[in-house]
Amino acid sequence: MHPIRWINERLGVGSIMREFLGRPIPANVGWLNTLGSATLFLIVVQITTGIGLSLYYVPSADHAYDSILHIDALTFGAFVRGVHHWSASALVVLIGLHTLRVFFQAAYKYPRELSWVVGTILFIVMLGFAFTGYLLPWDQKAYWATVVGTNVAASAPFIGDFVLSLLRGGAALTTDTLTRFYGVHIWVLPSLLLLGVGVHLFMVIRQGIAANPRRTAIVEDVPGESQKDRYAREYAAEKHEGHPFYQSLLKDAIVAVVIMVAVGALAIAVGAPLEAKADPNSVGYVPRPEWYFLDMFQMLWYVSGPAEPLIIFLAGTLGFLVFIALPFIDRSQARHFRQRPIATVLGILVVAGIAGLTAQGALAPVASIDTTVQVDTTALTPGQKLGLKVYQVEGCASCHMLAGRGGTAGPDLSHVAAKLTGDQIQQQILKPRDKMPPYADISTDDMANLIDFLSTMK
Amino acid sequence: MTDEPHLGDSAAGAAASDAAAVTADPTVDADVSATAEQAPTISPPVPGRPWARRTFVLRALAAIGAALAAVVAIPVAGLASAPATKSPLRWSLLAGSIAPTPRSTGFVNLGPLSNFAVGGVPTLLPVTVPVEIGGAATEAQIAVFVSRPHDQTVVIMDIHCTHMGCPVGWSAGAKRFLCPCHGGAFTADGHQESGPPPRPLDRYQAIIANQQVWMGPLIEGA
Repeated sequence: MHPIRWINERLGVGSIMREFLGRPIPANVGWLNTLGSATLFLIVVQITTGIGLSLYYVPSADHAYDSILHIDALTFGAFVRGVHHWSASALVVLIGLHTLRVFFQAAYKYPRELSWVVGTILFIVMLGFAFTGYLLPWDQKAYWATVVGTNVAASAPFIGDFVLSLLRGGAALTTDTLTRFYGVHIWVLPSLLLLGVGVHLFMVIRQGIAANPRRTAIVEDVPGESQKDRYAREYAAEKHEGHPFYQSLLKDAIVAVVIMVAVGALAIAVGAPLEAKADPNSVGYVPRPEWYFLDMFQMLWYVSGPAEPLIIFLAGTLGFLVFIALPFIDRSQARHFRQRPIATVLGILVVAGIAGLTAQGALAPVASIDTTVQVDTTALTPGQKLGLKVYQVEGCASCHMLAGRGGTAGPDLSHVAAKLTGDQIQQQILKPRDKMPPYADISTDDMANLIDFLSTMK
Repeated sequence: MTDEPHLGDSAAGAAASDAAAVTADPTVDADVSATAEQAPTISPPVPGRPWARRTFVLRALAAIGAALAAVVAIPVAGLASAPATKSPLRWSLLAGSIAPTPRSTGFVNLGPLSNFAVGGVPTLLPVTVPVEIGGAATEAQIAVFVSRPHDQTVVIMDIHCTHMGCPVGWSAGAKRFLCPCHGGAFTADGHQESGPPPRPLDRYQAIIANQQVWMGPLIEGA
């Protein structure tokens, strides 16, 4: 007897599979609907490569970094770590795009509200994976991003200290932090993920995939019909025009292949980055998070003042609650984006905000007190050259951009002379009107040279 | 294949099975809805005592399950949160950041007072301090800024910006600490001068004894 037939005689899943693969799905389900399956594919990639890495990784502050170097030196080690790294980034992108597809097609409306709620929890779980995952190499980026990230969590009112200590495994960030991030990364979050994905997929099969919204309904109005009956009639009509599920799988497979090629190519060509080993005492290091947290890092520029922790907490909590409860807030029946202009515009604004903050964070130059500006000094007078030196010594570049180098805390000074006179510049340095600290102890000569130098910046 | 079940039907079915699942909840009297779904497969209810036995068994199972879950889950949750319940907590509305530095458990000699010049220039000093990590007494190397504003006063400061914990750097020219993350600035003795930091740089206990400088534990919750 054929082995598959033998097995099926005992499992009896053949009819279930035939039903599953042959069930009709709406005709207009297309390429955008592959985003969910692409996310699922990457989850499988992450679990598989993660298992491989866990065979060598040592979750201890003393050994984690060396074990990463060891992995990179092993056959396929750098490749597997590279795939895990790039696939994590791709996963954040795809789960984001999948969420946007569902949002802009309003696929979270009746009867798929629960799919959305579970999906948003999976989204948060995914960010949890990202946050716990990149501490594990115990390099500089990992360590300092975790310092900042856990401090953000400390902004919760009253329980902030408790939450922070819970995350770090104490007040300090030590090997205890690393082991608990590891435990959460490989046990807690995967359990939640598999449970959530299971429920999410069950609901997709149970309710069927949402048809793409139409401007003109596929069925005629029937007076006196309830909304639910109308939906059932509409969806039945969509499926009637549709095709068997297995035909869509080809699109899913093509997308999975493209993603795998891209992730594999990045793993080979770029590899997983690794900075120097974490040094908690490295004064001068400029912390920057992984790109998917840059928006939050950048957001910290825009909230400050004594109430900052409360604002962060309230904004974060409110954002999360609105995200998760969206189907219960947006209760209209309209699904086509032209019929729901407010939701569409709000959605675009949120996406633009996140993209803008991320881009701003990504493009912001890394600057510290050691940053040196590079100015063409050939045309400068000796006094102006001394002024440049004052600019360097006083650490102006830590906050100000000049000729493309420097920080972004203060305004760009590349064309300051076009906006302010020398006196105005001097006044601003001595008695700043805004958040700049006063530099009152610069000597008269130094100040004159500095103003002379800055006056060339037109 | 045939058409999928009518959606209204499947939704109703799901609702009924949900009701069946909560019969174990003592606050819900779900006998009636459970009957509708399950009746044909089991012997019909005795008039007057519908499903009393099944409801009792399900509730007992739920109680046993909850007790078993609690016996396992409570110790695990307690173990996971042990470090958080041990640390000093501020319970404040606007608590903010906490220094990530391993906590020194004792006093360390930083050398003779004469090593630190009087004036406003802090020294960045690596210090090996006694710490307790994972229950074991061990040592950790931390870095601190030491300044001596007056002859008999020493200030020992943590290197982390009190905004989000980035390492601040001392700018000798600007004579202030500048943070590379969000533009925070602190004076030489650690007071916040501009930018987002909500409080001065955290300090360590500092003692001068026999012209020697001793560094104690971090002063928490300043």
